[in-house]
Amino acid sequence: MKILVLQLARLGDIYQSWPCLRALRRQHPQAQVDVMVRPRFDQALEGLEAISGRVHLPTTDILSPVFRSEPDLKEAIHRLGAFLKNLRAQGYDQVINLSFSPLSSYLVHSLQTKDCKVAGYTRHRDGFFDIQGEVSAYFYAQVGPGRSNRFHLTELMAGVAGVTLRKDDWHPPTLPASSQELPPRYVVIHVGASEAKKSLPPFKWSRIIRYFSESAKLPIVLIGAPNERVISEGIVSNPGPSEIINLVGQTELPELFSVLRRASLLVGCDSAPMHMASLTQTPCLNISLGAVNFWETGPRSSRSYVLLAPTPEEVVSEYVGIIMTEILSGQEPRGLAKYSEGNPCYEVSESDAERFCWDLNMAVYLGQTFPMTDDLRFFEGCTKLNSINDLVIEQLEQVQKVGLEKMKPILDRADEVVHTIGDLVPELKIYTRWLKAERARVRPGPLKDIVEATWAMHLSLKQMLRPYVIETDNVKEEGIHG
Amino acid sequence: MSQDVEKYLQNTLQMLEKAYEKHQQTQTYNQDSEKLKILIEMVKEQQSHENTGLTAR
Repeated sequence: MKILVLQLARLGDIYQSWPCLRALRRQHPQAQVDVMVRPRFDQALEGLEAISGRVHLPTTDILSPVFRSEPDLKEAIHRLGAFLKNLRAQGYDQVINLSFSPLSSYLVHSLQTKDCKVAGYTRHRDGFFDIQGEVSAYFYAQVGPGRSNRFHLTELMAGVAGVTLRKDDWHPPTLPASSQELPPRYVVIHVGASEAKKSLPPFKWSRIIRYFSESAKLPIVLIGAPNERVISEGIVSNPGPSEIINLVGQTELPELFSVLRRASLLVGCDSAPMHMASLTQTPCLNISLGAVNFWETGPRSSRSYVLLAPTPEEVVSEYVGIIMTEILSGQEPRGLAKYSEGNPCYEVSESDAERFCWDLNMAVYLGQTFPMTDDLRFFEGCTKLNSINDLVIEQLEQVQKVGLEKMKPILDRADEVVHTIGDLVPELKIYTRWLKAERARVRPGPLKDIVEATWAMHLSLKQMLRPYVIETDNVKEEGIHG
Repeated sequence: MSQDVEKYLQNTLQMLEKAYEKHQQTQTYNQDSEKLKILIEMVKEQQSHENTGLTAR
């Protein structure tokens, strides 16, 4: 058996794919499991014993002819064709897309041969977006910042691949020890992040280290990429009582496993080292800034915590210093999200509104009981959405008699109204996004089949709205066919 | 990313999109259409930086 897994995102996401790839190997011990990554992120596969081979997406080589002074489109198409042909010739039995991007969806469809099974984002035969699998449809509709998903990305990837994770899928690779000489105990700080807006400025880090040093005397090891040197230099130029060992820009990425494994604690923002620490099972204090959804990408090692802050300015240095000391001394810091084994994997104090959204998500996707709320706005929104949905169902019944052309403007308008209602009542987006994902999954084919599939989808929506529809003299729930 | 590079990418993208539209005027969606779509998406990714961004964002 031959399996190709596409992981075209960045370093952190590649590391978060490791547990899934290990579970895939366990499920198919004899299979050839190849992983497609971008060449510049290839290092993040180093030491991963579960895979057979790596495939590089040669973006630069393929695109270079169109970037010439006289663009040569034919040559670019030829190069892309040769790349795809070579991959198709491998005869993959399964292609698993863990990338969730438009590019990856086209690539997957291009690689899909007759007997090849596909999981994740792909394309229909007419080029429209398609989603293969329930978990991928859930991902499309409900995952990302500002959405109510609480499943961790590692679990979602496993769901897409159709594998079940075990605790020991999180373990570090066997790599040579780091050449860096480090003290027996230390705390690691990753000074950067995947994006500048998700990291703290040098002054803030200096203050945190200073406050930490007042109660604990552990050395601090700074890590980061070469382009993060400026942050580390800013930190070491304000020395405090703690010994600071600056390794920023001095370590290869895989070498960090050795540095992290021996650390007592990793402190940092949303970044690849945080995901590497989940593999080394190093306790983490994740400073989660802005729109990052920690439920999806937070640390997964025991005694890990997430501190939420909308902006770097709102991170209180003294508080962070105290929390670091508490974690190291085995105390339970208050007011933070705490990692716990399970799925979802954090314990938090939450508002009723947050809980409601998550419970509604679970009702829609996992058939759990629909949660109750006293929010009239939500009831009114559901009632309006239900009315529009009834209209769509009626129109779909007419399509068979009068043809799609006459009904299309009404259906398009209804679609717009559905999404406007979702914008007005954010909780309703759980429904409207579900609808959007289901619509993408309707296959091209005879009009009759498309109408039937769409009709069934709207009927399901009606069922899911039922608990919240206000019955009045003007709005009566009736059977679908009246 | 400099404005020049951004503009250059935008022009390349327009060239590819035109080629796709022209192709679709005479043929239904096929492997050639898909190759053009892949090139379009590859260029779009260059516009921010050489990556699609993080998986869940």
